[in-house]
Amino acid sequence: MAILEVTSLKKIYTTRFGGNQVQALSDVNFSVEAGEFVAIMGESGSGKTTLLNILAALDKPTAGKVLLDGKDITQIKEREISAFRRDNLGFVFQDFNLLDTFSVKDNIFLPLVLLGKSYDEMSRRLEPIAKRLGISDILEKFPYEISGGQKQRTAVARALITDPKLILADEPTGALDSRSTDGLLAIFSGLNQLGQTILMVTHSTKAASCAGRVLFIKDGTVYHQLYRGSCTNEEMYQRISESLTLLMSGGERDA
Amino acid sequence: MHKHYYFRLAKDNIKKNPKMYIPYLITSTLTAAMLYIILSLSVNPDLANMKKGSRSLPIILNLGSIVTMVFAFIFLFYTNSFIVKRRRKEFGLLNILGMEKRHIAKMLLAETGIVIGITLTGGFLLGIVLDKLLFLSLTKMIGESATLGFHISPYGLCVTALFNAGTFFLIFLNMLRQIHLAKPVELLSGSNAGEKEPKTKILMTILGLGLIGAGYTMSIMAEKPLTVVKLLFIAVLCVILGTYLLFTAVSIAVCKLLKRNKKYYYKTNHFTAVSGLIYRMKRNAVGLASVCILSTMVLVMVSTTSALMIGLDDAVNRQMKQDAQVTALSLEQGERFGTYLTEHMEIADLHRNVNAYLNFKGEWAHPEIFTDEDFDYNATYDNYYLKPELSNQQFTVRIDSSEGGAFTLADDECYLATENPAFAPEEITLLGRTFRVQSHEVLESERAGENVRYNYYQLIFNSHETVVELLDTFNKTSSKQRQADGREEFTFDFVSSDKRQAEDDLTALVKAFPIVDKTEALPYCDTKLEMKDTMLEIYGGLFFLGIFLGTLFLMETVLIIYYKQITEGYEDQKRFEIMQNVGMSRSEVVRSIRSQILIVFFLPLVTAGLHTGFAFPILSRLLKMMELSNTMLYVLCVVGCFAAFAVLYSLIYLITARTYYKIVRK
Repeated sequence: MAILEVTSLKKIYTTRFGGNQVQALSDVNFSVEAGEFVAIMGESGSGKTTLLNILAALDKPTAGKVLLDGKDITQIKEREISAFRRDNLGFVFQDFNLLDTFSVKDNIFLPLVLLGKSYDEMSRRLEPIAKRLGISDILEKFPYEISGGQKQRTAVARALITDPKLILADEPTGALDSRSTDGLLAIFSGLNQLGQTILMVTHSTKAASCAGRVLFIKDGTVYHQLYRGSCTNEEMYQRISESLTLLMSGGERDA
Repeated sequence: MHKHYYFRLAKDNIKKNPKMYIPYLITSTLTAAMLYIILSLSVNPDLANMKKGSRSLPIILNLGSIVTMVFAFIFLFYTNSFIVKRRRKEFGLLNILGMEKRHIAKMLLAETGIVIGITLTGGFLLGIVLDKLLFLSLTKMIGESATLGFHISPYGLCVTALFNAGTFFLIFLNMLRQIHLAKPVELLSGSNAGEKEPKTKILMTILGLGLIGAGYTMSIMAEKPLTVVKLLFIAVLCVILGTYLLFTAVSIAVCKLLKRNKKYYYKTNHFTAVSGLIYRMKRNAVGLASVCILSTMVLVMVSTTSALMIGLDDAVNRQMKQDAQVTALSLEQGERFGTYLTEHMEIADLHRNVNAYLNFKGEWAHPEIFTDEDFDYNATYDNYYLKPELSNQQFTVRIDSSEGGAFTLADDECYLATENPAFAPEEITLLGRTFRVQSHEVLESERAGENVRYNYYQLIFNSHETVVELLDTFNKTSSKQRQADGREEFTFDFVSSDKRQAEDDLTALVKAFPIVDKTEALPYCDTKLEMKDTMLEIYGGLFFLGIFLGTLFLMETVLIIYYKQITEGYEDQKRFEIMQNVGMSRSEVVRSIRSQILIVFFLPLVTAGLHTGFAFPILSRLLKMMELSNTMLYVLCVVGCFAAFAVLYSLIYLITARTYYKIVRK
């Protein structure tokens, strides 16, 4: 069953005085099955961020549909959007987006507090997640006291704690060193094996090679896609590199 | 060429930072104008040459100019620190792009020059224009007719110029110090470094609460006149210190306490607000405490001085019931002056009162007051003697006549006032005569409650003869000690309806009083009008100063709030974004941040209101000492001032809040 269905998505930015029109997305179609781990790759300016913003309900498309679990998120009313995002989506950002006034624990609790959960329930939910992500020891610390990898794991915990249908990750390894990157990718793969659906936008071939499927975006459309099949991460890495080379040299589309 | 380059760079810097520089320049210009005005007024020849020969006004204005300078200095430094903080990144960038620190210094020097130039030009123009206006309002306040004419004070210009140049130069040096100490990378990253969560400071919290509590208690408890003056000063110091601690330590302790209560803290409405407040309070505590103290000063100053001004007539009437009072310096002079006065001037409702101070070394025994060892005191002495160690004490007994006065006394009756509540005899024997004490009053005393015998007594008798006779006996029997002479007070109304003229006539008459020999001093006279003039000059001066400094403080408050809003805005920009990303709706974020901002900015106002409220008891007693007995009037003044101030404060908040939201919503 497809948890996310994107059909004929189009986004045109108009400059302030209506002069120039920039087409960020021309015609995007794809779907994500429940339990899939999908990576989206593309160069700067290919429309990745616009796509992610629309999927996150932060931006409205010019035309097209985005169905999350059968519900069209482009039609949700403005005042219900925040609640919808809180209930259904989890976010992981490149620059972590942790609030420096909160301890690690309070940062993770933030979405639950917004949902009005009791403290006991929040603690109950936090315990297994913190254990799995290896942040049980730093819960009382503040963001400025912990490393980048720990910050990103905190952000992942915050995304997971609401038990979202879909996790959207925007360049999650972008600000991490290679060891932390490996750690985070292992965590993502682990979560995926437990059935968590993940959609990740990334520049990094290494990050993408952990995904089950890679979509390549170019000039506002899905240009190409790769399925992992039975490949290992290393084989996947190789295939992604080849596709990227092809993509950049402007070869024929084959998907 | 190079000079021009730095100058143009400096000009551009100021132009490109209108959000930071325009309010700064406006304030520095207004401050310069105010400083010029008060300096110019303090040496204004027209003010000094006023009819009554103003003495207290220049002193008050001089004091005011010093206060103005002190606060102007602090504020210019303080507001500049906001600007420097925001520009650190710019300095770092210039440094990395190849400008050496000495080049930056040159640029800053050019900027300082421009700021001084604008400040002084604007300040002088505005000051000279407003000077006349304020002069007119001041003369109107103290009830003098103003002479017209334009007046530029070179003294005011010089001192203002020197003060501003000096202050801005010190600010420049301070900026250099900060740039020199920092490495370019540090300058670049600026305030991005993580901020530690502030710790609860238990000792400071307790101290802060204790100091404020002590100040408040002093205000409520101080009842004796002398205690009031002493305690007022201590109470003010306590509350100022306490306020700083309240904002720095107590506020954080309260937030932490709330945070520890998990049921309270983990609620949608409280979660972000409480944790945000801890940091906001840490960053803003000193600024907010300053706003609070300044606000309290404005409120207290304007409300008390306006109450004094409004209640002036009442106060004069209470102190002096009749139009004039002349005091003859001896009983003999009194005799002559009485005839002289009635012969030379038409007066009405004349009262003559004889009194004398008897100062003697002696011993006190119930119910008798003894004078001197050679005075014949009776045999029962030992039985009544209370404190042997108090022998040979200095005594002062004021004897007073009250013919036609407030008391109706028989020939052998007297009215007694002492500082000793325990001394309430039914009869009193003084210098061989015994009087029945008809009525007894305890005078307020600084020393009351301490176990001391009090040596001041006031006795009022029904006739001049009694007083004169007692004085005679005293002078005969206590020859070894100082002789005493009486005085005679003449109080009366003028018949003429032109009181001003009558007052001048009386002064001339007293001056022309024929004296017997050259050593004799002239009687002195007080008139109600003269008293009113003197009080009006002091109260009017204070009222003027109250409004003047009130305006200055208000201006500084506006500026602090404005810069706080801007800095908060930049700090919150990122936070705003994150909260939205995590799933808070825009309106939820706005609500959360608005409630924090409201608490942060209205806490000083509420605290200032509380301070003013608790200052009320001690201040109303102080005003009573200054003969303002109408407490209701003072209540109205305080409430009125607070209401006006609250409205003004809210307006300032609303206007500056727009800047904040503009920054945050970017």
